[in-house]
Amino acid sequence: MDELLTDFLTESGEQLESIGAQLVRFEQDPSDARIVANIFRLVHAIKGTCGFLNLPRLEKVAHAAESLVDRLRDGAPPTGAFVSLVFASFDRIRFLLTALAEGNGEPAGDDAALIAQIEKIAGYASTSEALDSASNGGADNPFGAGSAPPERRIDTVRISIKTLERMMSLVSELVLTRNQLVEVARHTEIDAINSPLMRLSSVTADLQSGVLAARMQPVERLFANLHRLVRDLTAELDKKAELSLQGGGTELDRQLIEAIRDPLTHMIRNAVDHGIESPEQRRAAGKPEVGSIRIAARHQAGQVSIEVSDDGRGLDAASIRSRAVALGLGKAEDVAALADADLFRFVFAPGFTTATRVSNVSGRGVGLDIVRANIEEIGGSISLTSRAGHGTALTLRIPLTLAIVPALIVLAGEDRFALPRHAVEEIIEIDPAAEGEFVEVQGASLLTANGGVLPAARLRRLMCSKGAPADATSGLQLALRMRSGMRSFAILVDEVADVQEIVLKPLPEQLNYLTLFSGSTILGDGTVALVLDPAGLASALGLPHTTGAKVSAAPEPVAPPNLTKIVMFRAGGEALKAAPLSSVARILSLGRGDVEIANGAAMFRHDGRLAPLLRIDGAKAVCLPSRPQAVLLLTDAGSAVGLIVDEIVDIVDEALNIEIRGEGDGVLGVATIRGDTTELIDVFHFLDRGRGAARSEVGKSGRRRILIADSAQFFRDLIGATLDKAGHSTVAAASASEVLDLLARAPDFDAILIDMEMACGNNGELARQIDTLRILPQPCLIGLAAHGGDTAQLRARKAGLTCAVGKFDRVALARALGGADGADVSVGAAA
Amino acid sequence: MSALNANAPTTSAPSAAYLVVRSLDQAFALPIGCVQSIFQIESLSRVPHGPRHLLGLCNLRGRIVAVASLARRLQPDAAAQSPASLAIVVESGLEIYALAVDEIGDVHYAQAQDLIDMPAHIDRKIATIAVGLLRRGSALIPILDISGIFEFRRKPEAA
Repeated sequence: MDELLTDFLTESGEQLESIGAQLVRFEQDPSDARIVANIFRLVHAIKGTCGFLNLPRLEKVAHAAESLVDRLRDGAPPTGAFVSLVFASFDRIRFLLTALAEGNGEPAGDDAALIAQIEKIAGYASTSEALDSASNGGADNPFGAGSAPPERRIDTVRISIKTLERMMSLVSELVLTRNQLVEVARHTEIDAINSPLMRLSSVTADLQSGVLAARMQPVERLFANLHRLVRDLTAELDKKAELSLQGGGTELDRQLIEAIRDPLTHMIRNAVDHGIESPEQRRAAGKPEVGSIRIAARHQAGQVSIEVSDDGRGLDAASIRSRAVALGLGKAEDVAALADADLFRFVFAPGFTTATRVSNVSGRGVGLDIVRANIEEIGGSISLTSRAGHGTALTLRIPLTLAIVPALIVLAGEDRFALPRHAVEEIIEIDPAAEGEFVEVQGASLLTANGGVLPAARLRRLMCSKGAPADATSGLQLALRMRSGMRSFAILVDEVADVQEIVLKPLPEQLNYLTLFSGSTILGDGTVALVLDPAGLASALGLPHTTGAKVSAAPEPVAPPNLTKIVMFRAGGEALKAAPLSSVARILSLGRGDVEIANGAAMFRHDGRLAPLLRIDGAKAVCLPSRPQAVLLLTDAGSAVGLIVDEIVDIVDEALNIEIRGEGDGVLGVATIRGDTTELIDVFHFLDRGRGAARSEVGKSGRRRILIADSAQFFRDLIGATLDKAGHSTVAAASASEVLDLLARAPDFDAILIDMEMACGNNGELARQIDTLRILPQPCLIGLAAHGGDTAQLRARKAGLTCAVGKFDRVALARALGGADGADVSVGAAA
Repeated sequence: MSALNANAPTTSAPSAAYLVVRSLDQAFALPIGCVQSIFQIESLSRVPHGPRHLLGLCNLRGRIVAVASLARRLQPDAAAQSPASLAIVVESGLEIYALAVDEIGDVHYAQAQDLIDMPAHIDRKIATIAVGLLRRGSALIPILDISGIFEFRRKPEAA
């Protein structure tokens, strides 16, 4: 039988039961307004559902009964005849419901006589159909069949959610107690308890699965409205599509069913709106006119996977690339190098949409990021595959239940924590003997694993754990790779002690502000362990958990504007050297196998291309390293070089003040960082060397006078030094008022470089003011942005600037200053 | 008790019972109505980044309870109670918490006239965790405000 109908019958049956007692009281005191209201609500609900389920006969009776009770509600005197009619109509409703439950649809016959009686006494205007049926009726006895409806035993019991939740929490307690007993038994020699304990254990497991099963509902419940959704959407969008459903019987915890309802709806909307092409396009592509959308649910390794696939046009990699760059999710060259599978991850970034128009259906850019957030909230994951022209498939993986989850018990010093297993993507063994796998420097640690570099942290440090530190040289350490939002990161633990099924309990309410933990649990030995929250760990590492992925594997500087993240290292001598972390794409560890000799120079592979290895003196390395070598990967506009360093000393957040401008090649200047005199290296010097070119001089078009306006001393110094070296003369200003002051005194600047924040603040006030100074010839206004992407270009133009360049993008800066050459691809990309 | 005593005014205010505890050599009174039970702390799990006076979480017959130290609440650098010390399970709102004290004394019944409003000039540390004073013989004992003690979001010093 139709599931909706079954639900309706069970529900109405029970309500009729409960209303039975009220009807008796109603008979005793027909003026009790509350009872009348209850009765009215019931008939009203039945009437409403009848229309939906296409049960015309029941609907008519319910409608009549409703009118009758409505009269009572309005204060009609409850005479004896009135009351008995109420009873009669309820009997009839019960009779019809019983007949329906037999599974043969609505019984033949009609209720015209009953309805006519009701009409007479209630005095309401009947519908014409009712009158029609009255005229051909006659054999109908209102009190006949209905007065003694056959009893039908129902073999289901409805339990309130509360009861179910209570049972679940009791079972959870039982599981915990069982775990504790097992732990005790492990340490005792008493054989007598083993057998009852095993029995207890298996009964507990059975009970647990029994109660879980009671909470389970088929995912079919979710499917009920989807056909309708697809029909409406296709009509609205002039498309044709068919929905097919598989695995509706797959069961899932009811709590989770509700949690995925919205995400699923959203995915269908996306499939119809973005996936399925118009019938003409489909015909042209040689596909059937009617698109197909398939939802398949199944159990898979203790999880439920739900796949929503379409045979539409697939994702458009090119437009995702350009959107990703425009949204500042990555640099153009990095995005271009991404494989499609990695690229498609961007569609889960907040605000991401490639739709050029905003339709009623989707394309507002609020979408898959919310879907992902909702799914991750319940411990699930979402993945996407797509083939251009063949369609897209989104797969949700959802745990069966939230109440009891398998978790890793991890150690950090003397502390133990539980980490839900589904949060851990990979456990990586780190050999402390192998250099460079884990580079730990004050607070900022990086883990090199499987060819990538992950932000990492020691759990011991995050938790300020005490206790003997695990000796770094004593064998392998474990790093747990996790993901929060789109950022992967790793947490180093002293040990993974155990895997246990834990029952997640909330933290005491007063402690909810501790975002590192999602709750607490009781372990097998009876002690309490806090449950780690991946999102909280990510934000403790300084990773934003809501924004999208950055392509660059190096951590973005998260320091306040005037602080710069600086890598401090030693190379070729005792003097400390430093480079801004933002110009270092990665810190690599290259062994003999990673380096090859080509054309007389040592090269290594980066993103599939060969990059040269340079020594700190700028010369190319010519031999293979004898042991793993720490290398700073420097990248710029598609070229990359590796700078060999002796050791990475630290990564610090510091305000950089260059005290002495550098003389030698490759050194920008000398700065004091944390009390140490440090040489700041000129990243571009090495990049130029790597390209094999002599330093490309900016001064082709002659010496220029340039004003640099940036609130950060570091950038004023960095850019000033770069331009000075190129033969320009520079003047620096730290604020908008300083800029205007300088311009008023000596307006003859050829170019003004302005920090974008300064230029665009107050709606481009500064640019307007410069404009009103009417300086001739007009200086070229260039915005200094964090990246020179499309968004920055757009912003720059809006603020009245000529263009925007990345602060570290010296090539683009040279082009922008080069005037006529300025209309180059990398600068004018937005044009 | 006084309610049965013909001499005592039974109408104005019924007597109230207080549990007297000691921490840092000071006596404090807890309204008996919020005291659920007393237990010996066995094993505590530290809460990293939690407030200083939160000693940790413990398993109290299957319930996870936050244990706070009264001494640390008063004086953040006070030594933590020895692991085997006693804690009082108290109700605050819908939650239960445990308060670790150095010593648990007796129950004191107080008349309405023994209850004194908090003087404005009392030590601020005490003022944030007490609602009034209880006269007991010649001594005045602060009556603890449970929700003030288990306020974990603010630093006790700043309270």
